[in-house]
Amino acid sequence: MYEKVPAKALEAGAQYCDVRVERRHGLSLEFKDGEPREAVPGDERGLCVRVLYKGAWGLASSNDLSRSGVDGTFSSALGIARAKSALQKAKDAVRLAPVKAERASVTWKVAQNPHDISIETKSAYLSELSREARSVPGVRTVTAFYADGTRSSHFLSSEGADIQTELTRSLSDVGLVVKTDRGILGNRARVGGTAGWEIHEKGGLAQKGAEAARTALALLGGDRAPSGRLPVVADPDLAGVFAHEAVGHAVEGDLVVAGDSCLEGRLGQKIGSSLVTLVDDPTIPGAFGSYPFDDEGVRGRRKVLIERGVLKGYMLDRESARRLRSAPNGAARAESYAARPLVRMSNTVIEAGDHSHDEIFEGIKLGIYAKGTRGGQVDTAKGSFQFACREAYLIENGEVTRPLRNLALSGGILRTLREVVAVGRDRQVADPGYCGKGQTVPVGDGGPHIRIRSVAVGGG
Amino acid sequence: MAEGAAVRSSWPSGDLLALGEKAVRLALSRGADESESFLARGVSTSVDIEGGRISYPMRSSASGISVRVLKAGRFGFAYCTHPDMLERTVEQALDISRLGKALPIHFPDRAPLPSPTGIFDECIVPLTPEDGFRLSTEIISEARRVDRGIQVTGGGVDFGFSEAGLVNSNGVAFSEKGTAISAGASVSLKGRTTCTGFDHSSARTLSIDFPALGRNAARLACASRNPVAADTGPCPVLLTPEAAAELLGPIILPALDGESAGRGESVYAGKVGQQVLDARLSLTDDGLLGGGLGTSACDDEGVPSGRNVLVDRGVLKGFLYDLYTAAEFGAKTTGNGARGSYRSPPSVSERNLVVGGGLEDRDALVAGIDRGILVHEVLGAHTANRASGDFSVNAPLLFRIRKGAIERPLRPVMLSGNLPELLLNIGLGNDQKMLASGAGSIVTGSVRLDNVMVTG
Repeated sequence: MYEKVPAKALEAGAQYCDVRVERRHGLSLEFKDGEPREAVPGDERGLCVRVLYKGAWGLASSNDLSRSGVDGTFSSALGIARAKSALQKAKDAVRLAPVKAERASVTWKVAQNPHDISIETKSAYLSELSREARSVPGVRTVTAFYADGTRSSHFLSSEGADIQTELTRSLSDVGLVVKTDRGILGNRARVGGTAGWEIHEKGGLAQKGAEAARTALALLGGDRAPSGRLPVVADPDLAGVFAHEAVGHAVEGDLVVAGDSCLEGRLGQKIGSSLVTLVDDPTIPGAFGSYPFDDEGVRGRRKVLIERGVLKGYMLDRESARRLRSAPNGAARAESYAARPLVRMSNTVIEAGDHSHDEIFEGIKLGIYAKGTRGGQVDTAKGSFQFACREAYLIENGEVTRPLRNLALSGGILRTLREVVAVGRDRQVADPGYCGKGQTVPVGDGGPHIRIRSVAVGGG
Repeated sequence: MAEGAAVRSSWPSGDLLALGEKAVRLALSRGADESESFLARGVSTSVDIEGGRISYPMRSSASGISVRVLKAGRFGFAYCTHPDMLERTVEQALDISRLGKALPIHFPDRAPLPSPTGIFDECIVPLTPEDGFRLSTEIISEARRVDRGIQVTGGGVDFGFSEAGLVNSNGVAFSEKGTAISAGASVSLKGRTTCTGFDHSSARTLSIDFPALGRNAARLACASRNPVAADTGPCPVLLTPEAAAELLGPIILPALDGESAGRGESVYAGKVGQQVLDARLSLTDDGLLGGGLGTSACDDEGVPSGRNVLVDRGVLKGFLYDLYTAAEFGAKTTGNGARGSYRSPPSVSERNLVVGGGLEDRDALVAGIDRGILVHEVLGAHTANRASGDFSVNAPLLFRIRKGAIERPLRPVMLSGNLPELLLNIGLGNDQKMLASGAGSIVTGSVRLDNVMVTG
């Protein structure tokens, strides 16, 4: 029934129309302190209709896939687009950069389909994660989490695109809190990917969780972090967060068009150290942020955003590509059928350089070795970022000496990019995570060890 | 607009509760000891502003049903979007219940429910996407009236109406209609450095001053021109209501969750009866606050709503619980079982957390600061150490206070400290505002914290 919607839209005078029909089903499981806490199986279906009428968008979504439901959703989207077109100034008319109308049916197979694994096996796994973490003395609480989900989607456009995709993602996570007479601290470890049960069975997460607990205990014994500007060495995890938070968001085409990015108008300019090359790549096999097509029917592809310090490109959907006189590069993602596509990252990675581990640390009289993150935020317009490190250590005379508690970093995106003075050979790919931009989508990020001349650091 | 209203729900016509009753009976017939069904349907409209333009108007119609069963004291849960999936969903919930932890737990019995006020406004129901365009345009043009250089980079208007239903095998059969509207503006002003400003507002009734949002955001950006570097060192910090909610919400609310208290993850664990906040300060969670974002007759488990005093004049009185965490930690539910949607089993959320007591004139709070800063926005409070309350956050929008007066804008700084310690001595302004949080809201005025570490 929904297959006829794009043609009906053209008959009604629309310039363009697409329809996205999705089914999402999966399971999430949570264990607290070794006991099951919550299990949520779910199954949902819905559709989103997008109509472009005389330069104006109208969108509607619904769970109702019956004939009357599809008709109602279509006429709602068309009605909104028509009403908006009547109010809109000619200069604001939306135009779409051309793309190839793809016809494809893609299923990314996983080695072990998580839907074939019994809930008992998944529970036993979470039980094992909990037991390993709880075996470390000082661990107070442990939350073990597992989720899998399959998204089946059918995308049809009035330009002739007809794309069916099926993707399965899964993730497991162990979060723990340690407590000693020195205080209380949380830590976590995670595996995830566009992958099945195999990554949990062989992911070694139980050991990583126990390791995270021992690290937290060591950090609790650490000193308060200093405040001020210091040289910082970021590990691959944190380098990935920097790539994503500080740089990736600022090259999202919709934010650039909206005047909300400090990198607007900087294409082709040297914005950072020549050591920095940064890519966004949804084609990395098995990575959490990977996908074959974006939600405008554009094939996902590797995008070089910064090459040896020069801003080479933005991440673009069809509308921002047109406004920036460029070509769409498959970066439009929607959280679900109930959401519109936005320009989003996939797997965002700083490419490896050629500094050895020793060279990275060499000559730092007083500095910080910062690893991982507990989260961060960025103001793309001002070009400022902030993130809290998961682990931090003092560097004295090139040696990592003492653990530090609760360290956060903040700074300017451009200044920090310019101050990258060393990039390691040791790139690690794509830690799984979720990115929020009004909508939440799975992403990955990664990089090598990098050294920054100076960053504002502060302690809790 | 007739076409906009034509979006249909996937339910068979008829009472929302009839489907819920069917689900409850089905679960009992398949072996549940007790059963419950939560149903939600609604239509919402969002009109986004991007780059000074209205970009993506969208009308969404959503409906879903979840089933929860109790079998031998164990919960099972599952959800779906279509009535034809109901049987399988009931089976899944029963299957899942094998895994649960057995607890002395029952769904609530039917009880008289209070009548909340200000949660349904008939004026919101007929609003069309065109109304959204008009209101968004008012926001944009009012912002640009302040200064032609202002660009409204983000924001917009969202509104909708919804109906939720709850049926259980102990006689609860309840449904409630509600409305909500929110609007906001994020603006930027290009210059030597880019300045930003914002304002936003959320309500259950059509009571938002839309032009004022654009005006306030633009004035804030204009006032932030030519910032200078802040001094590094400890000083008093005055947080606007928005910044106060951004800092307090992610740190204090999890600490008031009965589950984190029970597991020893909360900084307030084991401190009932002790002074944990400034002696003038009280925290009350009010499920019946007139017009509150988290207001309804009962929570999402059918427990009648009420007022819970969590901190009375600085002394901790208790924590927030839903049915499950109350049973697990030997407490009584406080009516804080909330569901973000039909997809989620209930979990503990604030309803309307009111920060009150010892209110001072906001201008007097400023006047009382000799050397300090006024902070409009806090980023990254979710990265704080929840277990200890240690935080390091970014403050991108701030002003210097000297000798009791707000002076120059400052460049972004990092603020750090231990929030529970800082909250032992605070000033609270009378400029209270309701700000969206979790499944409800935080209501707070400006908050003065002394001795916050500022890194410029």
